[in-house]
Amino acid sequence: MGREEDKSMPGMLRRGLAAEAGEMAGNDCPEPEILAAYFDRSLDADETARYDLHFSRCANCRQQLGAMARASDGEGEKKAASGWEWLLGTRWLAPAAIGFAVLVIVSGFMLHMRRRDLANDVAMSREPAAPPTEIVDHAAHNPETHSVANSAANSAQAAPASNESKAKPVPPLSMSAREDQLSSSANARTHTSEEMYRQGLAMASRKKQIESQQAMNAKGSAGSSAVAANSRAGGAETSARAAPSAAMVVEPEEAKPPAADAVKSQSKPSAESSRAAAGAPVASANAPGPAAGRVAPAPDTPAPPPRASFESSMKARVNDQAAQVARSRMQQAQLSSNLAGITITTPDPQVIWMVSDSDNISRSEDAGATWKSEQIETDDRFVASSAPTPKICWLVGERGTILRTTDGKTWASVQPPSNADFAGFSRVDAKDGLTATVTTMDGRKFSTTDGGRIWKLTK
Amino acid sequence: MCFSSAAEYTPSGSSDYCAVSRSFLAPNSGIPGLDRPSGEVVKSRRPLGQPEGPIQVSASSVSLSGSVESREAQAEMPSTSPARQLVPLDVARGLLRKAAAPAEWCVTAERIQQTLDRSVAHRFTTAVSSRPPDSRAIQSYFDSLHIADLVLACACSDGNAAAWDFFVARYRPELYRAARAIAGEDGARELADSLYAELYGLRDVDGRRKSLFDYFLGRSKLSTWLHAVLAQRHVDGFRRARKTESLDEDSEVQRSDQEVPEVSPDPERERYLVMLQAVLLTTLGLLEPRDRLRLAYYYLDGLKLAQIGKLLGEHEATVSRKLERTRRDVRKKVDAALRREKKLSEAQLQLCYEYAREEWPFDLTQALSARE
Repeated sequence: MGREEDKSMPGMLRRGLAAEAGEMAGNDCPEPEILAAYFDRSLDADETARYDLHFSRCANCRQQLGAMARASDGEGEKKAASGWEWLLGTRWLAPAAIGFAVLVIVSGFMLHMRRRDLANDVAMSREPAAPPTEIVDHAAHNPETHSVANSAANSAQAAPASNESKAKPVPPLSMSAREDQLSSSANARTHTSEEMYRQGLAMASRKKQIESQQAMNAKGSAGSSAVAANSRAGGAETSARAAPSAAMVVEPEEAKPPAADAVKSQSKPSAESSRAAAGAPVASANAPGPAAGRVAPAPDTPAPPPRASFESSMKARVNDQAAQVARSRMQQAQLSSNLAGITITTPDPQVIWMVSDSDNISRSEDAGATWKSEQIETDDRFVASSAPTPKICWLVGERGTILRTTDGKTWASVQPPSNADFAGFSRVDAKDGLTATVTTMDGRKFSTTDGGRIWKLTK
Repeated sequence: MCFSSAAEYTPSGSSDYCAVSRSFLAPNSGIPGLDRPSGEVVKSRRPLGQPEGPIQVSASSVSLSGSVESREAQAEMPSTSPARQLVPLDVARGLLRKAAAPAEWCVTAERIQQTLDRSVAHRFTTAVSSRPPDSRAIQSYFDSLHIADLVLACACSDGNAAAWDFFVARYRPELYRAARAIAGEDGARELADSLYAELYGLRDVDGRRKSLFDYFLGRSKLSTWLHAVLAQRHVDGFRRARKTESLDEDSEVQRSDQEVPEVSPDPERERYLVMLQAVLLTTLGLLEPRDRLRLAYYYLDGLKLAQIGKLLGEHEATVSRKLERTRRDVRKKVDAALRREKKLSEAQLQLCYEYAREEWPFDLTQALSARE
């Protein structure tokens, strides 16, 4: 293929196209109504094809169409620019604002709840300042350990109560290290009850260490092992309770920094639980559930477990909201660019579609490792998709764009009910890909039950 | 006069709103077209807007004012005259309600029904089938109509003052802007003025004002329709002004061709060119209409990629890509035809293209400037 051909092609094409046209002057030319409907793509497929053929040979009509394209240039750009910006501005703004508000409300609520509970606990507690040695001594005391194990709140009470200073064969280093860790995480604390909790925490972890040593020391002793078992179970229960408490304690810290950061940090719930785990380094957090349950009923403090679970569920919801906000923002950013990769997920996590180009769509059946490309016709921006099964997928977009595949491989353009800009779906059937309801940007709904041949306006 | 149907659209208070104000003056600086004879042949149509009873639907001959001679024959539509109305009144009423037009526009269900009848008749009588269209098809047709625009057009056609206020505020600036985009600064004013006058309705036919709005049937947006009418008038005027048979580049190309042959006496060169042209014509004729249309928009009409995209419903980048694909395709086929059928060797092929490049130079900027 030499360059000669390249240079000669334009002239040749022009010559060839012009030579054939000209006979068609004014014979079959449609009226402005038809031209306008063609331009707005309101004609059905047959009419469009017929006029495509006519226009391809009729310079007169093409000139009118060209004039119409010029006329709509300024109008379209202006509207699209303002419309799209407006849409872009509000579409992600609303969910983000809602998420923000929810976060603020929830964290305020949680703070309020916590303060109330901590106030209650302060009334119950004695002096909190228990030096490390006391904790150690107390933990060493077996008979008392058992009773303490039943209530985390009482543990702090018991700690100052037992002033026996018994030497314990305990490596002080680990204990102090533990204390350091705990105190460093407690820098923001001012409430005495918070310290109480932490002490209970430290005590529980200490107890665990000691118990494991005791188990080693007193091997054949049924009694001590029973005690140890009880202690262990109690310790487990305490630590289990301490963990959510620690988590709870950790939360207000998170709520304090600006909500934007909170969005980021809370979108990873695992990070939080890992922080809570760091705060309460008890591997026995996965303690035998039934054991914890057995020991659990602590009449004095029935409050902590329900509150903890309530708060964790609230937190989970906030996390979801934040994650959703972040996701929708990302999606919106993607959608706003015409050529961006839009990912369409299906009920099967292995099957994904991706609109990667303006008329190219790829499908993966192995969760994104390999992709197969499928050609599709139209190139207007896709705005929404719906894939009820791994094989059925509908796409809608601007200016009456509707595409559908029912076998996952071949795409067909569906004649739209109107050339309106479509915004999404309200119902897509998973059975056979024939039934769907699409919504337009201005709120109209059209539904079809035969794959788009006939559309009905619905509510 | 306004005949409002019983419950829904009785305008509250005075009937002044509903009075057709024949003395309504357009707010712009006069309508030059008022004095100028419009010079169009307007076929008489059945009078619109008569309120008594259901109107017999005979598919009216909707001919366009300003149409060129040969067009009028085409614009005549066969009158099928079904014995019944195609659009039931309650359907019309429902659509009218959906359009949510202000009550001041005084558009009644009957009025809309007439327009819808015409619209349906226009749509479905051009179809080949002789039986009346089934209701589902009609219903989906209605769903595709721009009802709000249609109602506005009806109201304006009736001369309703409130509707005209709305039209003037919303559409008139657009009309003039579009005229400028189509015809450039010079001809825009006149083009838009004449259209505006006709929209308002100057002529009284059979005792009734006739407005260009009657030709709007709702299949497209009102603004697009206005563009189309402007475009048609502009192109027609252009043609008449140039006093040539057709506006094709063909004439220009022929003219440029006629100058050239004297320069190349080489018979072989002629032979090659003729061969090439024949092959070209065949190949182009076998293209898909869309692909051919795309090429024509680009090479003959000199449209920009974005404009072509708008006309074909494709993204700009896709237009470019498809043009490239079609070009490659045509070249491959022309090559193959020249090699196989005309038995040209490689060297001869090259020579062929060389002659073509000399003979038919293509300067895009030149072609574009020739447009205006």
